Order: sequence, then structure tokens, then C-alpha cells
Amino acid sequence: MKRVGKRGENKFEQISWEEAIEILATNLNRLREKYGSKAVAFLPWSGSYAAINGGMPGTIKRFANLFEGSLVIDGVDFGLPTGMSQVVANMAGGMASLFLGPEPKDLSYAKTLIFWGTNITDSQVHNWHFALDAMENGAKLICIDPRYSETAAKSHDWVRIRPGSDSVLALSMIQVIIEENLINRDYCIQHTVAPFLVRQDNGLFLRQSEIDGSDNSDYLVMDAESNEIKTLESISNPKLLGAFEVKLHNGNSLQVKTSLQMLKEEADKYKPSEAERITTVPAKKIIEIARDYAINTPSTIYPGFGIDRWDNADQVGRGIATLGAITGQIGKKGASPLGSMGQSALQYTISDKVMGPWTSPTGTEAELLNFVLLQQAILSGKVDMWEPKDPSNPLAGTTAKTPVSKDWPIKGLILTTGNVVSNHAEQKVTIEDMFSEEKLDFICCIDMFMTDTARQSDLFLPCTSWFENDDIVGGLHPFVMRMEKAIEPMGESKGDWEIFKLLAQKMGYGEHFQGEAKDQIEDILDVLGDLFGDRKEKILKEFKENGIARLSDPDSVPFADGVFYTRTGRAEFYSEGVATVFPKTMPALQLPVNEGHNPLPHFEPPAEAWIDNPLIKKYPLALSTLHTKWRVHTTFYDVAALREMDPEPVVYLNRKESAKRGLTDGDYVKVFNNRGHCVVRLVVDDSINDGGAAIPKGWQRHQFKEGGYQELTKNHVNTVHYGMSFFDALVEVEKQKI
Amino acid sequence: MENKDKKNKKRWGMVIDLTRCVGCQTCAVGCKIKNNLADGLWWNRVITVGGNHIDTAGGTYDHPMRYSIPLNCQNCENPICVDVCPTGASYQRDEDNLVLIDYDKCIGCRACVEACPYGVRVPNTEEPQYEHCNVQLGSDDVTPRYQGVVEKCTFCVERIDQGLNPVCIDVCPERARFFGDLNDEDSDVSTLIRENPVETLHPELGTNPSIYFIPPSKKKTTRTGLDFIK
Repeated sequence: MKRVGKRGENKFEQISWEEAIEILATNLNRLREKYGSKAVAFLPWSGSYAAINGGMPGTIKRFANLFEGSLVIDGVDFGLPTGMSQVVANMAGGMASLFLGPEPKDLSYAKTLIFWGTNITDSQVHNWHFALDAMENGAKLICIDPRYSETAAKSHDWVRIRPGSDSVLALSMIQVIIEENLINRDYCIQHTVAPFLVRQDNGLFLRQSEIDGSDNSDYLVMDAESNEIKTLESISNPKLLGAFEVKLHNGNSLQVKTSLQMLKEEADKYKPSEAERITTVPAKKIIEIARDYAINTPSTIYPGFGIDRWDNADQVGRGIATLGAITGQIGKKGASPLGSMGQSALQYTISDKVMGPWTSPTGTEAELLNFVLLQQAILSGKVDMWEPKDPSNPLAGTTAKTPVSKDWPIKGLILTTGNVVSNHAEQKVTIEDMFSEEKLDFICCIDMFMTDTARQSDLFLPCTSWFENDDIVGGLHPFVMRMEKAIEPMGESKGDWEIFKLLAQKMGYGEHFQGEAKDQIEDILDVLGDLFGDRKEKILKEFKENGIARLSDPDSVPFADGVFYTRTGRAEFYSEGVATVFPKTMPALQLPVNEGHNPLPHFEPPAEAWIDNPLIKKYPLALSTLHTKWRVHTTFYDVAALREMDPEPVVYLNRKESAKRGLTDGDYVKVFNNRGHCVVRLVVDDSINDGGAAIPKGWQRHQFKEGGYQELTKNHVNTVHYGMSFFDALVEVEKQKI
Repeated sequence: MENKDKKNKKRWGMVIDLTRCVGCQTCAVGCKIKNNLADGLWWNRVITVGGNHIDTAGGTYDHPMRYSIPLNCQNCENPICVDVCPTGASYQRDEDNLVLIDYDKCIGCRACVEACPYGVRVPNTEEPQYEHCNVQLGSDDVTPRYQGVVEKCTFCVERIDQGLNPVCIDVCPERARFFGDLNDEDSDVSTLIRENPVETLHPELGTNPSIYFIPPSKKKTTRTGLDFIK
């Protein structure tokens, strides 16, 4: 389909595939000549996890690498996992730490299960029955959520918390656990940085070399028996708490504290009574869940993306992972603070080890542009990025204390398996500025449906669904699966492989697109199998026989050996560097704590939706755009059977907030802030907290009476975790005449 | 004699565990697709017990409550719908007492729709429309319906006759629905009924439904929700 009206006017005419490919190739060549190949951004997303025809990593990546364009990645689901990674693994990759959690079935071993900012009965339905198994085995289920969700209703205990204050709750639980000596002392000594001494002058760990002038860089601890400073290896009983004076080899004296002492001092700011004031969770309840978590073990925290969509999300992740570390509730069946997406087959099917050679057949590569920075790049031609001091050693830190502005103009956009206009925060900016003809010369959208994004494109190419291609897919579980073609492609639609193959032939990359998509499967499987050593044969056999094969060993549990992928090899609730995820390096680029970055989990107020923000007087409601059972992001927005049950966009407000505004159930209301608005029907529901509003997400603009929910969200660029903070937004609601 | 006859007969029944049901609607949609239900028609609905809308809470702000009940034909042993049917279109199958409708005999008088205490019978007041895809999806084995007839859940009779479970049982992601022969004391359903404080809907009417519910808290304390149906 070729645009014939103005951009966004939704006027298209049908053209032949030949003409479409011609238009696409001409534009790519033109943009490359005029602005350089990097000015074309390729954007795959999560609309399909298929390895070849989907976005994980997908044919689009192969083409982007050959073209040497920009590849837009990450940016969503990054806040919380980055914070958790900080403690368990210095890895650059948003979901990395979630992949390091246990697999879903291990939930059933837990005796305490905390669902934190997640409504998995609706959003991860496939995992809930393992939680039910745990419940039937006697586990206590606790749900932390501002909203009385289905998961809350199903749990034994529901903790209503002020949105955005979750890191305070985590710190308060840590405070209770240290105060009541519920820490796992052995685990803290053997597998965390708890006993390490921290220099109070620069925040770094004290090393042997600093004491004796040798070149021994072993970390030092305080021996409880002799009251002398020793290396950890040489003693069995180090002090976990305390402040001490030490003498350096240069004669200077300085104060040191144990890492656990540092954590305690931070956590002591949020004793339960103080935390109650901030979080609204009763102090008694905080103490109760902290005790449950530490005593009724094994215990699992299943954190979700409700606490991820915040500017301060990384600190929540850091706090949660710290809870697991100090209690030793990690690395055992039923014990992990890292959720339940671990051992996932997806991490392998998208990995460079498996897909690297496939996505980069000539070795050339596209440059990775973070999704959150796409707006900057399109609007200003520049992005603010950290610059490593030494690109070969990301641990060496950065050239400056703030990100450095770098030229990165984007003039063309090729999109597949994603609906950016619906799912990018600040929808008005997305449509009116980012997708304007002035800013973007050319937009090509590949999709199954006429989405908000397709409507903004110049060229819209109809692609096949999951059922019309042979492919291979890894999900958020340990199984790799064949996607079997069930029907022939409908109409003239084509799979991504075929579309990019036609384009490649036109543009001179044809030799790298031989055969059909399904011809690639065996090669990919072969490399995939290699990662699993002895299990390879079994995997290939299972896959051949059943079209599905289990990758990891069912008994394996990440971190079972207590070795973490950090600088120290220990769980680092205190870190010498704060890992940032972009630019993407492995290990992650570190922002040194002796340059002012915070070494501990701590509380930072949300960027917008917070009680102390003066804006709250004008827009008093914190808006969460819920993930409900009716859609996966925007996928399924148009399924007739579902629309019978869930026919139109709504906003949820509780009775008190509705009454305050003179609103009654069923009214059409305007939800608005200074960024935009939408008009939706009101559902009065006391599930929603005072000061809160919720709009189930995933609708397209044409389904609203006016506007769209994504106009209300803000694209805060957090320069540590680079995650989009959709829930960190304030709105007001008023009656609307229709 | 009658007792022996009853024993040899099968009596298909379901147990639905409301502690496990999360109201995901998978059984409702699975049924709709498999049985080729036209737009607006549902044989199996999952009802929220709580607030006034699907997925909303009742109770108070500090003590909210909600749970879900899947509701399809209760396959009563003493079905009122069969009693009131003037043409014999609604009947009980000899071999297993399954309540079914002979669409050729149905005149669409809707006496059964009014009479059913569970509200699970749906009339085709208009020519069936299929907005989802403009085609009928689902199973070819299912008898088609047309304007004028009343329809309802058949316990997926054609699947039962092939030795399969009704589709709502197999698609449930939370393993909340169970199916089997209530007359077989070793069946899953009989075991669950023995081991749990099960309830049926409107037992006072003497219909003797063959669908048993394990209440949301596994306690027979609150009957609010179960009484709420119609």
C-alpha cells in the first residue's frame, strides 16, 4: 500500500509488490547517499518472537546489518531488570537479570511467594498454575500492588502501596531483616559483599595493597575473633556490621565500614514507621512480610513490569535483588528475587552466539540505537550517550560525569513486528513531530494490521501472521518451538524473510538471502544445540519428533553455586560502579561510585507521579496503563470475540475519586494532562487506589472517542537504565459531553 | 432395578475449582471458536462476582472482593428446560442423560430460555453473523444453528462421543476445570467432589446440576457469589 494523502491521513492505494520493493529500495538508496546509511533506522519489536520472520532477532536485523543502518533496540522493560542486574550480574541487557531467574515451574517449590507490581493471572497466565501448585502445597502468596488485581484477589495477603514508592518498601523490609537479624549470615559471608570494608573517603572497597603496599588486590574484612583487618580467605568469622579505623601503608588513617553497615545505614532511613508515611503500607504489615520473606522459606519474589515503568525503577530492582542476597533466598529451587522468566529459550534464540552469524553474514553490523533515544535522534539529530573512557574496558568508567551529545540523525524508519506509534510514550510528539514529513523523509511499516503506525507510514507492506510461516521461536520458558505453517499466506501478504529477500535482491545483497525461511531452521538449531553440550542430541531429537524441545536441564538453577556475574563474583548490593545499559557492552559500562553515582539501593522520587511534585495540584492522579488479559500490548486490539466482552477503552477510578469529580459509572470522561488527552468511558471500581487512575493499554487511536491513552505518558530518558517510564505520569479526569 | 440401571449409565459432570479460576476467559473464547458461535452468543461465560463490570471489585475500598465463575449449561439431572419444551426439542439423551437440543424440532418459543434458572440458553433472534473472519471457525462436527433456534452448551457432545474432553476442559490454562463420569466413583470428578466442600448452583430448585464448584476460599462460608447467578 502506498500513501496517497498527507502522512497520517490514512489514504492509501494498493500497488504491486514489485512497485513496493522499488519504492523501498529507491528510498533506502536515496537516504544512504544523502545522509549516510546510519540515518536509516530499522526497528523490530516484540509483536512476534519468531527468530526469522519475527523480531527476535528476525530477518530485519540481517538486512540492517548488511545495510549498516541503525538498529533500534531495547528501551522497554529495562528499569527494573537493570537494577536487579546491578546486584547479581554486571550485564548490559535489559532483561538479562530476568533471564537469570528460575524457570516458571520452580515457583511451585516456594513457601512464600511475593508478586510485586505484577498481575500474572492476567499478563502471564501460563505461569500462574505453578503459583497455584505452590499455594496447594501450603505456600503463602502475597501481592504488592496499588490496585486490587485478580492476582491480589487470589493471594492470601494483598499490600496496597503508593505507586512509585516500591523502593522504600524494599528498603524498609531490608531494614527489618537486618534489625531483627534475619539475614542469612553464612550466605552473606560466602556469596555477598556484606563483610567487605568500604573506604569512607572514596566509596571503594578496601584492598590489601592499600594496607601493605603490595600488589595484592584482595578485598579486606574485619576479623571478629582478632579484631584485625584480614583478607576474607584467611578467616572464618568476619564482622558483618561496624565502622572501623584503618591505617594505610602511606601512614594515613581512614574510616571504613562493612558493606552491610552501609546498607543498614541507608535502610535505617526507612524504618517501618517512616516507610508507612511514604508508601501508605502499615508498618505492622511491612514487618510481617519482611519476616515471612526471611523466615518462611524458600521464598520467591516475582517482580513485574508495574514497578518497571518508572524513572526510579532500577532502585526497586536493586532493592528486591538485595532482599534475595542478604537472606540467601537465591540459587535454590523456590528461592529467587528475580522473577520467573529464567532459563528462557528466548535468550538463546536471540543471542549472538546462535543468531550472530545468521544476522550478520558478512560481518558488517548496524549501530545499536536505544529505543528511548530514538525520539532525540529524530527530533534533534543528536543523542546523549555515555562515552566509555576505554572502549575495551567498560569497568574503567566514562569520559564525563554526564552523557555526551553525539550526532545521530535519523531520516528513514523501517518497522516490523511492532506498533511504535501506539506504544511509544508521548504519542502526540510521536505523531506530530517524530513522524512528521519534516523530520522523517520516509517511513515503511510492515504489519498484519492497519495499526496506528501503519497509518503514519508512506509505504505499508502486509505481512503474514504466526500461522502462515515456518519458523522457530523461543519463549520466556525453557522450550524452543517450531512454528508450523498452518495455512497459506492470506491475500498477497508475505513473511519478513520473503519481503527482505526481495529488497535484498533489488539492492545487491541477494546472495545473503538464499532459499526459503524454513531452510534456515536446521542451521540455527544446530548452533543452538552446541550451547548445551551433551544435551544437544536429545534436544535435536525431541525437536524433530515433537516440534518442541527443552533446552536447559530441568534441575539447573541459576546461581546455585553462589557465584555471581559481578566484578567481585559476589552479590553486590554495594557496588563500586553503577552499570548502565547503553551503549551496549558486555560487561556493562560502569559509572564509578567515586564520581558521585550511588553505590547502594536507595529511594529516588519518581520523575513526575509523586506527592511532592507541584504538578500534582493540577493533575492529581497517577496513571497506570494496565496490561490486561484482553491484549498483549496492541496485539489482538481488533479481535471481534474479545471486543464483545471488552468493547471500548475505559478509565478506572475508585468511588471516592469519581465522586470528587461528580462522575458516575458509565460517563464519558476526558483524561488529560499537559501532554494530551483521551476520551473514554468511566468504570467506577474500588480496586483502584486513591490518587490513582488506570487505563487498560493496547487500544488504537480510532477506537477512542477522542485522542489516545499514550498521549498522556512521558518519555523520561533515564540515563542509567534507559527504560521508558510509562506509569510515571500524572493526569486529571473530568466529565465530557459526547 | 432402577438403581442398577442408573449405575451402569454414565452421568457426565464437571468440577470447576474457583480457587484456581482467574477469569481469564480462555474457556469462554475456546468454546465460542470451537462451537462456531455467532456474534453476540456465548455458551460459556465467565462472570465476575464483585463489582458491576467484568474484572471489577465489590466489597469496600479497604476490604475488596472479587472472583470469577464460569457458567455454562449445568446439565441438570432434572432439567426444567426439558420439562417446559412444548415440542420435545430439548431432551435428555438416553445413554447418559445429557441435555441436548434437536434444532429441527425447536420452534424458538424461548420457554426454555425463561425457565432455565442459570441463564445459559441463548436464542438466535437473527440470522447468525460471524464478524470474526467472516467465516465459521472451529469444528465441522458441531451441528450448525440458524435463525429461530435456541442453543446452549452441549458439553461438546461430539467430542465426548469420541472419548475426548469438552474443549473448555482442555484449554483451561490454570487446570481449574475437570470433567468425567459422576457415576464412576474413581473418576477425577468424583474424587474431587468427595475431597472438597463442593457446591452446586441453586440446589433448592431440585434440578440436581452436574456441575460442581469448589468455592473460592475452599470454604462453604460465603454463598454470595454462587447465589448471585440469575
